[in-house]
Amino acid sequence: MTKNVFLLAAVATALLIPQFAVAGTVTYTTTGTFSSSLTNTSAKMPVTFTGTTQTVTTPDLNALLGSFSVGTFAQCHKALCTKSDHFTLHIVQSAPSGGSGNLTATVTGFVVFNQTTGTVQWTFDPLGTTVVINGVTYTGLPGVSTLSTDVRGIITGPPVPEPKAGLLLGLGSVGLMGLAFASRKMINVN
Amino acid sequence: MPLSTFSTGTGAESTAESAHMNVAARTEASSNSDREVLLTSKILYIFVASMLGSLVIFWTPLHRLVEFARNSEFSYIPLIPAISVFLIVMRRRAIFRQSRPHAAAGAVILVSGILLFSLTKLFPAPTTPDHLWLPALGIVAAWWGLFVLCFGLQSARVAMLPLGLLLFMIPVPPVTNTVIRFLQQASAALSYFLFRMIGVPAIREDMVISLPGLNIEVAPECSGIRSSLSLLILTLAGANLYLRSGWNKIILVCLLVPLCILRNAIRIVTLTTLALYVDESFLTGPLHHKGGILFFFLATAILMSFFLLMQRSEQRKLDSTRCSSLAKNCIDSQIAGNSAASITSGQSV
Repeated sequence: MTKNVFLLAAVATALLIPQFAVAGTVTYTTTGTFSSSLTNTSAKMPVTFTGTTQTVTTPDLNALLGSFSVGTFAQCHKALCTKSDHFTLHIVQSAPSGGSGNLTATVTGFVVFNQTTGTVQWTFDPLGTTVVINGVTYTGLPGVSTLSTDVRGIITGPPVPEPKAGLLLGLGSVGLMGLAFASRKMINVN
Repeated sequence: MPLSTFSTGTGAESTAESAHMNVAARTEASSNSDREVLLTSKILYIFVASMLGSLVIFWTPLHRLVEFARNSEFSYIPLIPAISVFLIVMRRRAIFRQSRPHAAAGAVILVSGILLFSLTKLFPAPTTPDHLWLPALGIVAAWWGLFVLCFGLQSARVAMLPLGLLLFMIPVPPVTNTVIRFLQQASAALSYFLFRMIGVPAIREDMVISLPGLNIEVAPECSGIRSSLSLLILTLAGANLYLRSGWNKIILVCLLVPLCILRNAIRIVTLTTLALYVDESFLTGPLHHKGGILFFFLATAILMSFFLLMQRSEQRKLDSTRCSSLAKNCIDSQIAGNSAASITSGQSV
C-alpha cells in the first residue's frame, strides 16, 4: 500500500513540476482595417491582412499578430512607385481578462521600374507605441514582406503570483488520493 | 412463517425441511448474485470499451482542449477526468449497488451530447475558448449518456458529484472573468478593512488602496483564481468521499468563498505592511511572486480543520444512531423471544 502511495506521488510530482512556472498566459484575437477601404484589404495597393487567434505565455517577444498577403501591383513606369495606407490593428483579448485596443501602423508598398512584384513594409506609429489591455502590454514590431509577411509584436503581462491551477489541483489531488487510500474505512459508502 | 407449518409432522422433520429450504434459497441467491456480478462486470467492460471508443472519436477536440489548457488559466482541465474516475472507483460499491442499464435515458443524453458536439461546425467562433466550450460540453454529455446507458439513473444519481465535476472540463472565460472580478473586488474591500483594523491609514478607490507613501492596486492576478478553483474542486471531491450530510457539503463549499477572500486579503495586507515598515522590496520579492503556494496550503489547512470537525460530528451522530438502533433491536429481540417462549409453552400445555 505504502509502495503504491509513493509510486503515485512520484508520478504526480514528475507530471506537475513543469507547472511551477508563474508566468501568465494571454489569449487574443486580431483583426485589421485599412483606412482607405475600411476593410482588411487596402484600396490603394493589393495588400490584405489576415487576423489570428493565439494563446501565448508572457513575456512573448515574437508574438504573431496576423499576416499580410501581397498581390500583384500595377506595372510601375517610374524608377520607383510608392503607395502607402494607414492600417489599424484591432486586438481583442479574452484571457486573462477581456478587453480590446488598437495599434496603428503605416503600410507602404514599393515597386521598381517595369515590375509588378512589390515589397511591403509596415511601421507602427510612433515606433514603440503600445496598447495596454487589462495589464497586458502589446507592442507592434516593424516588418518587411521580403523577410516575412507575418506581423509580429511583443506581449508582456504582469507575472501571476501563483503557480498554475494544474499544479495546485494536482498537489491537492495527490494528497486527497493518499488520504483516501490510507483511510478507506472512513469513505462514505452510502 | 405461520404456526400451522410447525404443527404438521414432527419437530425433527420440520427442522430438516426448513434446513433444506434454507440451503436451496442460499444456493439460488448465490447463483443470482454470481449472475449479477457477471452481468455487472460485462457491462463494466462494455462501458470501458465505449469510453475508449469515445476517446478515439473525440480525439481531435480533446487534443485541442488539452493543448489549450496547457497554455491557459484552465491548466487543471486534464486532471478533471482523472479525479472523477478516482471518486467513482473509491465509492464503487455505493454507486454500482443498484446499477441497472437504462437504454432510453442514456440514449437521449448520448444523442444530445453528439448533437451539441456537431453544433460546433454550425457556429464558428472567433477565439479558442469559444471554439472549445461547445465540443467540451458535447463530450461531457456523451460521457454522461454512456454512464446512464450502462449503469442506469440510480447509479448516476449516486455518482452525481463525480459526473458533475466533469463540467469543470468546459472552458468558459466569461464565467472565469466574472469570478476573477468578484474575488478582486471583495479582496480589495477586505484588505482595506484589515488595514483600518490594524491601524494603517488607508484610502480606497475601487481597486487602488492608498497608504502612506505607497499606492497598491489589487490586480486581476491578485484574485487568487487558480488556487480558489483548485480548492473548490478538492473540496467537492473531499466532501463526496468523506461527508454524508448534504447540508455539511453545502456549508463547506459556501465556506470556501469567504476563506478565499480572507486568504487574498491576508496576503495583500502582509506583503504591503512588510513593504511599508520593513523593506519595499517585499512587493517585488519572492514572497510576492512565489508565495502563492504557501497561502494555498494555509487555506487548505484551514479548510481541512472545518472538514475534520464536520466529519467528527457526523461520525458521532452515526455512532449514536447505531447505538440506539442496536439497543432497539436488542429490546425487540427480547420481546420476540419472550412471546415465542410463551407460545411454545402454550402449545405444550
